[in-house]
Amino acid sequence: MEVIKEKSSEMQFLHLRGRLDHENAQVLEESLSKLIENGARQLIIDCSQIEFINNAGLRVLLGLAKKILDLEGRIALHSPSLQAKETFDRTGFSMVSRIYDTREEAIAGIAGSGLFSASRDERHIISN
Amino acid sequence: MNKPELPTAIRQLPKIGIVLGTGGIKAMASLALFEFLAEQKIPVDLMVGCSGGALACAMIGSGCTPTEVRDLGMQKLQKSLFSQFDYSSLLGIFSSHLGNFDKTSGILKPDRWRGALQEYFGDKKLEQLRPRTLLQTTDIDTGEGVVLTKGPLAEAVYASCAFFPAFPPAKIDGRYLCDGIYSAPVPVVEAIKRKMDVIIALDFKEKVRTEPKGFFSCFYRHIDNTMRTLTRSQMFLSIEMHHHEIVIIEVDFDHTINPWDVHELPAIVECGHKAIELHKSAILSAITSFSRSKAPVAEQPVGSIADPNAGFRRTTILRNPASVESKNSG
Repeated sequence: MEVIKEKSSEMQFLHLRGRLDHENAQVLEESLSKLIENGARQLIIDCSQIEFINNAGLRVLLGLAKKILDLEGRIALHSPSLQAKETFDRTGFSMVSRIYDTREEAIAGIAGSGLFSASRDERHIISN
Repeated sequence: MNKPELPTAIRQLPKIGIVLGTGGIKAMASLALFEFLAEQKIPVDLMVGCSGGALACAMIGSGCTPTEVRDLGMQKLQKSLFSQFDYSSLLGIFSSHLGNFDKTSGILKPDRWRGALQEYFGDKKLEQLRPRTLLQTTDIDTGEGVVLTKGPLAEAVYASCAFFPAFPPAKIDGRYLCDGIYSAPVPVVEAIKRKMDVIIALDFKEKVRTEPKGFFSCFYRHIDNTMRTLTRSQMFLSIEMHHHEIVIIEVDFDHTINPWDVHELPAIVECGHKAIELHKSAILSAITSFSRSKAPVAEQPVGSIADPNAGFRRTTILRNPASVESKNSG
């Protein structure tokens, strides 16, 4: 597993590359936790190069989301690879977290609420 | 995806649970999984089944080989088991003057299906099955999931498969129990509660694109969609709760298969083989990663792939030998 980091203004962009499983979940968790400790509060994660993700990997992403939301930060995932998309769908992950199709959508979406954000089909009633 | 190494040494093996979801006769695709586990000498500690998955678990737990299950299915499952209308109940849906329908009713008479299950399983009890087997049902009064762990096997399988209102529920211990599809279509949570380390869950799906036509087709599509949402919600919770790995295998079918479509059995098992083939690596990886995460037991002789005794084998650190159950029941 490789994590490529790129920072732009307030946003931290991450590209996850390779397998995200028991073998490297802990290393990834430590690496991402360090980012938060160093002040990152808006994370945008590119999932297009995830070759394989299992429960261990999903738990890392969930743990990260909880941490960052506790700190009133934002996190968004986008462009999942086919394998990652299937896993997100099969496990119900995409029911609780919108997975954006593109980086641009994720950037726009993070201004809203990020992970655990309103699902695509939610309608808002605006009252006077 | 890299293929994980085949295990060549004796290692501590995780507790392995198999969960077979609802799916009528499509659940027979699970035979491919049992064949694979037998080939790899992977013992199973627990089976949890729902509806069609309950029938498959019960047959395997009764000691049938996958081939025997397939042959029995071809021989015994017939449309006549599912085609005897209960006209009083049917008319009762439209008017209480014409007939009677209540929570104990079903559109179909259950006698033949119950009789067939009685013929398969005789007086066997659920608690006698090996590996240990649990069957998911739903309490029709409360909607709660009820997991059967003991009692007459034929009636337990009937209850888990009693797709209300097509079939009437079974009365067990004073509760009216129907198909587990309404509470936990793929009951992974039960395997987590029983502390299974690696859980292999089979989810049988019809990916049919055509618009449903007619009452039953529309009703079934609605139930199927609701069940999908329920399964995914429960799966998400399960992953949060679980400490190691849940390998979720979706077995996809591109057309509707009715419970009596016995002629589809070879194709169903073939679909199972394709799905298992795609996930062999994930299953082996989940088991070996657990083994690696545990301290090795004492130095053991190393087997080889050619060695008939090589492969997965249960080893247990005996602290109090008198209290350790045999784990090789699968």
